Amino acid sequence: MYRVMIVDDSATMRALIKRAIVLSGFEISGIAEAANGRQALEQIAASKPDLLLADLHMPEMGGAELIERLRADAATRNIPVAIITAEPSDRVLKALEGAGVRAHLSKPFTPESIRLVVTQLLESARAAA
Amino acid sequence: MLQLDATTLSETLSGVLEAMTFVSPFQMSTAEALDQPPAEPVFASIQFSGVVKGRLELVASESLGRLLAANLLGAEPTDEQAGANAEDVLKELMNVTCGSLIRRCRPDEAEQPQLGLPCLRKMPSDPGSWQVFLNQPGTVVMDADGHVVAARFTEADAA
Repeated sequence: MYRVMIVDDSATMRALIKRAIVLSGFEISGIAEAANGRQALEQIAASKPDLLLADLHMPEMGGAELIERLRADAATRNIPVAIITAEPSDRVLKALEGAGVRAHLSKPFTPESIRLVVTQLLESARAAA
Repeated sequence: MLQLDATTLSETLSGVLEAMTFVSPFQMSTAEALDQPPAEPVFASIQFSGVVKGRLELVASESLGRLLAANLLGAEPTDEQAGANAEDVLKELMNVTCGSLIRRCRPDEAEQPQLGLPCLRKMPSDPGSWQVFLNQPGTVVMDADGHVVAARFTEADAA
């Protein structure tokens, strides 16, 4: 069973991603939600996610800074992360890959693309276990 | 320069609406739209900056936001959940459309502008405000499942 955290300032996007994950049949024991990177960091010790999907552009703390903070902490540095983004720049996405982002989900996305990304992250989580 | 024309804006906005919210809009003429101001209109905008600068602006009714939220969430537009997410969905529409426009105009560029955060505010519901928006150069108008929506993409002069 896996625990997932969805970090997006759009409540609609969180609901959409959550529904796609639930309907995909993964063995999920819990889905935590946060509206920005700061909230995610506050919740992460309690929710202990096995994988994390984070929007890139969010108020207060965006996805790039969240990843930087996660990687700086031994307790969270191995959590597989996928970035959700409408970001047009390949250079930014490559930089995020360099920071340890395992996948990215380009908006607009479909439930199938969410399923593929979650599968990819679960495989990363299994490999890291 | 992005040199984006009205056709590109119209096609991109249509594509995002279809892919994201299962709505199939068609383009209207400004003349057709002038006497159809949206009820409870909202004005949404998003800026981009960096190698090129500018903004995407959109005017739509709050009820379009409800419809889009309902479609995304598998709900009815009259559901409380659709109403609660109506503004959120319009902001997300701005974010995705602006990102798609930039990618479409600069597909081979390594350096791309950065997107800001979308903003949204209520707009006066008088026909005059609607007409002023429609009459700006480069504005496109569409019918999205019975909801009129207008959008404009403006690029700031290079420094």
